[in-house]
Amino acid sequence: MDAILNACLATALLSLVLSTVDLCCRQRRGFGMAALVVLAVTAVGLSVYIGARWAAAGRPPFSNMFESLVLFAWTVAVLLLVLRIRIRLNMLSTAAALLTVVTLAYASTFTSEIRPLMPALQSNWLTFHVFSCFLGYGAFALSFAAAIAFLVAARSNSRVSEAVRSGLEVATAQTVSFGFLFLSIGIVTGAVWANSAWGTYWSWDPKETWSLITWIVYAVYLHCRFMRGWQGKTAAWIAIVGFLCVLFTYLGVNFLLTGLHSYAGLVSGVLNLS
Amino acid sequence: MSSVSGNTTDNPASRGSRSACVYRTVTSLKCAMGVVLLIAVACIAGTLLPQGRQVEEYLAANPDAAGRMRVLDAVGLTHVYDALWFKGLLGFLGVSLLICTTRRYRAVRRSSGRRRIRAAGSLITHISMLIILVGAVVRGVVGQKGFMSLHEGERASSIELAGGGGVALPFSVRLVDFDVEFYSETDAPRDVSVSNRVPGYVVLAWRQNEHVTRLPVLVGEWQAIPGSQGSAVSGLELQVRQYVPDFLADMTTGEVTRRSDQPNNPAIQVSVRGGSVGIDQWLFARFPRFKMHGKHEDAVTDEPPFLLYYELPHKPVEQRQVKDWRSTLEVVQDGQVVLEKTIEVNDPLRYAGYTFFQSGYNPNDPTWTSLQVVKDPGVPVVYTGFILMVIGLCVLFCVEPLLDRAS
Repeated sequence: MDAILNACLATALLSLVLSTVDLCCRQRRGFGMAALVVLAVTAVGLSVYIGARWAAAGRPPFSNMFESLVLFAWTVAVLLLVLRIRIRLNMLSTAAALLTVVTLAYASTFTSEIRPLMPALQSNWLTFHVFSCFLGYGAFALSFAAAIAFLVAARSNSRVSEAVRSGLEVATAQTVSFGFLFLSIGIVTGAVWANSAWGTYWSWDPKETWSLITWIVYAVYLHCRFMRGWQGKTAAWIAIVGFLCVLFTYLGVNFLLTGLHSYAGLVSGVLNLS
Repeated sequence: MSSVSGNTTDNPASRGSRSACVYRTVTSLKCAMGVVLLIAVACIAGTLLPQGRQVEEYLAANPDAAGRMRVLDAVGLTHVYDALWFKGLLGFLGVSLLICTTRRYRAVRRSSGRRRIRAAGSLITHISMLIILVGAVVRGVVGQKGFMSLHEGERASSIELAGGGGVALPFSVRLVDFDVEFYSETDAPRDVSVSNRVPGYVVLAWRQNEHVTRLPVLVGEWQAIPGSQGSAVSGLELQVRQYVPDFLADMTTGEVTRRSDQPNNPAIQVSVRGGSVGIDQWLFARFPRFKMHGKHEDAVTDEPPFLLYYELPHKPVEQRQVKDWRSTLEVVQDGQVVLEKTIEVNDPLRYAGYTFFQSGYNPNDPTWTSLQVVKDPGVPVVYTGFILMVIGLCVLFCVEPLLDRAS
């Protein structure tokens, strides 16, 4: 099974190379389409891996950091392919391939053992909650890439056309909208699950709280279009901050805030600033 | 009175326009976004700084920080989510949502076509958030949360509240039975990078020096056996020909089948060859002294210089991973058993507005259980808000764009 995952990492890397060549090479020789095809192969490979692991484990493979990273890579690849049908922006292909490579490489640092689930995780809500959240995270990752590309394109000395700038703005808005819907579903299903497991739908747990912070930031983004002076670059920066919140929700809470129970590291740093 | 006054502060029209200006500012979208961002910043502080009981733990580890913690406590940063100012922000958000909802409703009535659908989606979404806040207020005002600890056979008719004190219940609850299920050895973490790997080890106990060699159980693969005392060469090879999780054999015909797919009687068929040695045996994890000859492929009959066993890893009780906790509870009211249910995590018992959740257990006392007890009339309200929010967002982000493209 790990051979499939290694092959996906290789194809994602190939897609990254092809899409980078396409970006840099003025005379397009089909590198862009080749990159997309290879990324599609990666997505298929990841689908096979997830399906095989699901069959081997007898449960959805969404229960630990390794499995969630593989799922994240899958959502980024699949959502890019869907987005690419509607918006022709090759730079997003490069970003998606890069994200997939980095995610799979990071996943390879974790054990791929199939571990039995603790009692609280033995629930169908796990599937809906985690899958929804990661559809959201994948979309937000693409919005992050589009927002950065927009800021670069919006510089005064940029030679990027207005059509491309507009396309990047639309891509950011659409991916944020998609991500916001699924993040909301993820938060709701998580709350319902928490209520059935522990008797409270909201306990201000760091993971829950940071998902709410992420949701708030993107809610502000979605309202930007109605506030004079908040469109364009300001909105792009909000989308970027939003994805940083996604990263903290996904990884930061696990690796930084769990260490705070011994109150070393981040908290001491925060208190020492005062 | 002159209609033109050098001092405009005394002009009622000015005061009215100032009030209107303040009202417009306070009810503006930018102000609402500002409040929402303030809530986000407060939440960040709540996750980074010690909260509630964590403060004591932090001070125990960092006694020098007492002064700074007092300052943080005074401004409410050590209990952010219970602080008055935080609740005030949420209250302001609620008022803002109410005003927004009113405006959205007017927008729905005034508009038509796709704009009306978009306005309706926005209206539903904002109403839903208001409903969720109302549900949270209901929990805060009338909700109860506590716990109940019982030994098997014990009965209780009150709960201990999380914040101290107790609440009497109009019924009693008896723990009929408590059961903890652990994962078996074959449920241990599996390395799926090697697809023919089976749980456990083939143990070779060398006769001459009591040295023990352990080889992984790799079905279908010949493995070289190291010499005794771990030296490089023994000239022997071992192969696990097959693995059966629940061994069953017809002792007359020798035909081997499996009774089930559960690891009730794990067994492996092992072959050893090399030089004049050639054996084929069935080894049983649960019956190490019992061996059964497999099918012989050749005529050599020398026994190998070691005994063979099939070993599954055994973990001490305290290291075994819990698979499930189950409490069988009986609800008694007016002397009659009105409800009996076996609860587990994710499957609580509900009665008379109270919900009993399987919470914990004591590894040193397998007859004891800990139950989380919650009464929250706000849950249906919050769930209604959740459903409406998902509907509203679907209308905004799915239905309206689809209609837009279709037109």
